[in-house]
Amino acid sequence: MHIPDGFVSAPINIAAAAASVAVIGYALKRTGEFLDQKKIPLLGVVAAFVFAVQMLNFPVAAGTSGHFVGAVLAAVLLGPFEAVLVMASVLVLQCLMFADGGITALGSNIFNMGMVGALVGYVAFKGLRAVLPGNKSGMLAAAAIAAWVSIVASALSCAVMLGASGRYPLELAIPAMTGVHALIGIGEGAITAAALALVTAARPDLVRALRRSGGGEGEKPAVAGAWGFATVGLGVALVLAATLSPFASGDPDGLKKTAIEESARQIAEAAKAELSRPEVSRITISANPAVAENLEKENGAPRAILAPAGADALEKIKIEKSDEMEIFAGRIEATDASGATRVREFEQQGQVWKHSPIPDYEAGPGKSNFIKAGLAGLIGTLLAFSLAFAVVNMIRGRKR
Amino acid sequence: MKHSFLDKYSDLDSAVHRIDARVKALCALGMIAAVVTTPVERVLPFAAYFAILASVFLLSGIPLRHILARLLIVAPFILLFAVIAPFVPHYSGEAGHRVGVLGLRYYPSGITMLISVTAKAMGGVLCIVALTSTTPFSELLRALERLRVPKFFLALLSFAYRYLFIFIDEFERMKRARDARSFGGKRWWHMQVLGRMVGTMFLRSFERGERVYGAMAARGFDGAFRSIRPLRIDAGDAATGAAFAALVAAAWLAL
Repeated sequence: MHIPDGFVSAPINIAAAAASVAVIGYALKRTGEFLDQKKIPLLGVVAAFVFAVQMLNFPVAAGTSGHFVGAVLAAVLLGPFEAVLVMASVLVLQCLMFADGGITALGSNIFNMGMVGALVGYVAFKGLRAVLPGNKSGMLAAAAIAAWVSIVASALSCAVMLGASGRYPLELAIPAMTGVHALIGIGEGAITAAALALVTAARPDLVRALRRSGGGEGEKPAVAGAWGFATVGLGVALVLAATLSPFASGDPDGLKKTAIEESARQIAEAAKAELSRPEVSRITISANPAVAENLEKENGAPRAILAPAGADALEKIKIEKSDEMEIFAGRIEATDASGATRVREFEQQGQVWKHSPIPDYEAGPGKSNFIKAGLAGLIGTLLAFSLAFAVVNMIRGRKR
Repeated sequence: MKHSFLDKYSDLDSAVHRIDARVKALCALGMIAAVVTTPVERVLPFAAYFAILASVFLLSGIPLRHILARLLIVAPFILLFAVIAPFVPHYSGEAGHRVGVLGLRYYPSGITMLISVTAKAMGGVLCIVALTSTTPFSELLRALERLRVPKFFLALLSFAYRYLFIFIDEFERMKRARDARSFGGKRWWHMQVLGRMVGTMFLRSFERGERVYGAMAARGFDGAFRSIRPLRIDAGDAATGAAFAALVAAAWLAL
């Protein structure tokens, strides 16, 4: 799941890195504020533990194997934000030491495996704790399921990043990644539960979950109630998101259309600039079919840009549809009276969105977008819940 | 304890190894940024990047085997991508050619994309390998500290790095003990054993963490980290860094 350099587009990388930096910054501040410097060696040593344990391969069906990740184990034993710090340091070390995961993709990797892995897993754990019996086996079951959720959520987030960057079709990436990781997640869940059982037996004082709800603290019922409410809310929201968002999506091709219009507009602007040079006698625009069509539109923006140049100026322009235009949106050739030619090429605009998993004129209407929108809704909801969780925690932390 | 594989070869001595860590870190970051942002259609800049990296590796004396082994890490991603890429249009309006199987269409831009993404992923790995194989990790951390990465996080990294070797050893010992008792642990129903190993490891690491803090506190640890070896950038380092940056920039802009 470690994404190398060059696989995720820059905007996604930057957004993920910004989110990671924000959460790590918050986690550092929180750890620094509420706890003493004792946490530094402790978290560092636990990060070393996670790194070592990630070398543990376990068998998955069909001869493949996965490795233990440990995000939920760390979150349950140390706390969610401490777990984010631990996972982030492990990922930085893996990136630097093994070149496992690219430096520019580090933000995305920390987002997927650190933040989504630890925070979504922890939210799931807390929610399940409120629903399942409060005894030890209830806690272990909650941890096991949460570990599974965390792995699948990380894989989903990773697949969406790769798909949205146009590297793999989403319809392929999402089932492939989540399918494999749904299996790997079972191993993760089993190992997390077994490890937690051992720690609970040997050092029950270390298990935060037991300590928190272990009586003595007056706020327990209120907290449990809030978590139960959050779980039910999350469940309802997820069902709604998965079933309703396909209907809610208005024009799935809107972004692609915008990209074509933007390319046509740029080409028109450039053609206008060329027209303003008196020595230019002829302009040939070759553009890929979609862009060329847009350029020729009677009422389109490109016409509006070119119109002031006058009808005789427009005579000089010839628009060709070119099937060879695969990489560029189009090319302008301006020929002078002397015969000299100036060529300018235009890249397709809207790089992130330009790619459509299945060319829309071939796939059955709406089918693929249906799945996509549902999944997008699911992921959006999960992310929104994690964010809300972080914010609520921040406020609660301040009050203390 | 033989785990120098982590920043293996960083203790060699070469012109590259002697350059200040900050200069190297900035050069590596800059080069990765250049590699990743090079437009998909252009091939020549990548040739230049790989030539630059090759000369860095030649100067540093890092064995080719090591570099190739590290490159293998991106292989799964690239292989999967190679299977899919030709059948995915990467530019809207691209016509594509009918293949005739399953209604698939072949898009030439997919190949361009594949080449570019492969070059980018490999370029990224090579930059990281060039940096970490010529810079001891502790020095890299100090360089990052000067480059304003939060100290707390770096302290965390340095502890993690320091105890990594011990835990890997301990874990290997534990696995050996398990295998010696002919348990195997090769089947899914052996998961519980693996879980207990992980749990034991956690307890050991946690208790070690507490002990380490205790020992440090007894020696006057106040949360600050100090070092007796100052980082120093001399004129040669600065010139090398500037020349490197100029080369990379030239490759990006001119080719």
